[in-house]
Amino acid sequence: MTDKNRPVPPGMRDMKKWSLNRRSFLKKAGLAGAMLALPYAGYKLGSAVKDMEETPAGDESYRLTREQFQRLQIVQDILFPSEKDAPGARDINAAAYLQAVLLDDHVDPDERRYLVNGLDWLEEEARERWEKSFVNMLPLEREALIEHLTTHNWGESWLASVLLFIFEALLSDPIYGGNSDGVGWKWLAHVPGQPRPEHKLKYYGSD
Amino acid sequence: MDFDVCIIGSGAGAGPVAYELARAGRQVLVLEKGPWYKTEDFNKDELACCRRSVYTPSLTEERHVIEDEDGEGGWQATSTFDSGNDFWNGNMVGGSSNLMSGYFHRLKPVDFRLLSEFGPIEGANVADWPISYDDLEPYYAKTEKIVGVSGRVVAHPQLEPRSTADFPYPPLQVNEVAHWIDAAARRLGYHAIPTPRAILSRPEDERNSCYYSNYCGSYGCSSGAKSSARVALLDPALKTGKLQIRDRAKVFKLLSDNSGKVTEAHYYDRRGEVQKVSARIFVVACQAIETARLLLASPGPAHAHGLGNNRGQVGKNLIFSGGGSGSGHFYFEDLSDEQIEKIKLPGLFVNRALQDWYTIDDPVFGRAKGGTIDFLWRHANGITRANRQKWQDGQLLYGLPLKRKMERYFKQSRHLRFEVFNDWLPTDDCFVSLDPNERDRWGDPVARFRVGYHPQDLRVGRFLADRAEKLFREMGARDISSGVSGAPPANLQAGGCRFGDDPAHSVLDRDCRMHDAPNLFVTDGSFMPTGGSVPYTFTIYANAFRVAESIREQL
Repeated sequence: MTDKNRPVPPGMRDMKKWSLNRRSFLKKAGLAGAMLALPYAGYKLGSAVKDMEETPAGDESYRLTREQFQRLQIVQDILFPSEKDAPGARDINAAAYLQAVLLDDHVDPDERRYLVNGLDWLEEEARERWEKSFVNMLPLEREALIEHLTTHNWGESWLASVLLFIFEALLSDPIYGGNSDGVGWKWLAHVPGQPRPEHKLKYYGSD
Repeated sequence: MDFDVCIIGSGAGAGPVAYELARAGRQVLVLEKGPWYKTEDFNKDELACCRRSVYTPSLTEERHVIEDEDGEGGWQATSTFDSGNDFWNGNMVGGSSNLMSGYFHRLKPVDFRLLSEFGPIEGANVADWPISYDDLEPYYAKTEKIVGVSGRVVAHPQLEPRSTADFPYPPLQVNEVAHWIDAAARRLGYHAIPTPRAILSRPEDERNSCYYSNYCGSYGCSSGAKSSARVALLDPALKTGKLQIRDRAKVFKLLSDNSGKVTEAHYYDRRGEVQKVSARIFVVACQAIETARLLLASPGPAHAHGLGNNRGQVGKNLIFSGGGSGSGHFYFEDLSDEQIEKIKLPGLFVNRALQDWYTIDDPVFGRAKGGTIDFLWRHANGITRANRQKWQDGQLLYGLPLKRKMERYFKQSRHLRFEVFNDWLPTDDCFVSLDPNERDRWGDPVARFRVGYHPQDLRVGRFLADRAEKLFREMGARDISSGVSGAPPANLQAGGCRFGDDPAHSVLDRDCRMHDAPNLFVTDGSFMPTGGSVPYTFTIYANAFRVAESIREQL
């Protein structure tokens, strides 16, 4: 897999390179069986569209297509799966949260473009190596593709960025659309500071 | 004359001057670039404080250019817009003193005479101060009382002389881990001292006491306990009726006449229109880099190369703080239930420091200026802490293993940190200039600064970090690690307008009055020839009170 022209914006190069132990990583990632338990079957096209329509207006070129949004949800579910006693990406509205970030014109445009591009590069890799669309791949195949992405410069940075916004959806104040009913806070026994915000933040310079 | 005094900036350097002169009956104007947040506008929203540009300008509109080493013996300039390395601090009324952690250590007598005490250091521009600790001491005491510093004086080998027996406010409450630090220090023969904080431990006038929110550093304070220039000085000064504050007023030039005196400040108002103000005396306190930038951008008939820059000294010998940080973990499986309950209590501070090696006299290391080690919990910010868990041995961690790691981190352990402060030595490779190409949103050249450091900074930092790690081991902490870095911290800026008695080697005289412009004073950290091994804000407040007296006499 070549890098082609997939530059990583400087703000997203948050990699730490220590010594690798790939074999033990694969084992720990539980790629052998745990992933089959993920409820991919739960995705319905209709619900995905509803999530998308609820996001606010911004630069529309960053609004994900239906299929990009689906790909995002699948990736987020692999990165942060739902469990009975521990919320996953779908429980904290992580995809809708990221769509809102993409429509926030104050967030660096290069970083937003990179997040969107990654969804398309992911699709290119799927077609190149598995000869099918990412959303049509089998769960184990998707797992393998994500794991393969981590070995690659843009892929690791991109997944790290997607994770960062999952963490935001997990632990930011619920007024931002994630962390439904504080489920993220409760899971990690995290006590937010008081006072909590009464409305969303206003950027520097806005009146 | 529109005003007696016009102050550019509203932070730690500006507040004392506004306070003293307004209370003396003078007409004072403060011009602040940023907006005017009040206490009720602050909250503990992590996205607002720490993940989006709420308290700092967008890099698309205002930026810096940083010259860093290119790895081949030269320097490479990158704008912070391109690197994303935001070098802004809090831009608002009260400045970044609204967001500080408020670790208020005084400089010590040795800091005023590093050249005499330790001799010159090859490659560094060490200089003695033109004043002594005794000259500044009364103003440290004044700052403790008026601005508000809480703590407890304990005798220790490096304690500086004090005119007052103790702090005016009692020490804040501490977490159990502070006692573990005390005990471990005693066993090692170290002297753990309570860290003085610019935070009220009891109410005073309109300010409430600290309520132990657990989210102090980087956040605005919702009780008024944090001793920002805004609540401690500007709000009381406004009551005199003699102070006017104009926010969203970006000063871009100071005009001067043939004699060198400053005559006007020009600023963009919130609509972007140019406004002009005249005053008898001008005070610049924009934080070291932006202060140097403003002076360099203000040439005049008697200041061909910028205000105060006839001898090419403005912007030179910029300094930050040397040092580094480290951490150690306490896993609950290693502790008793009682210990776990006690250290889990949120909000209580650690407030412990070591200054045993403020001056180093070591058989191996030799004799040198050392520094301070401060202890604190890892910041409570959830998103930041979660984000750190995704890396494991250089690999990206995700899925169920990531979630298990997060649970262990958040629910089954606590994380103690230390921060090392030591002198960032002034050198010829750390200075401010005007960038020839990059412009801000008003079309003016942005500040460009080179961030060279001296290897001695890292040697001292490593020496101190090693001793902090030793204390962590004695405490039984696990997975201890530390790093010492030459990277400049954006919130600890000083230098650029050294004060001194010899105009050939300084920009300001000992009263922080510009040598060539007798009605211009600089009262932020720019005046410091050397920085000391403590955060700067306390010294900036104290010195600004001192300079305010000279300004009052001159009016």
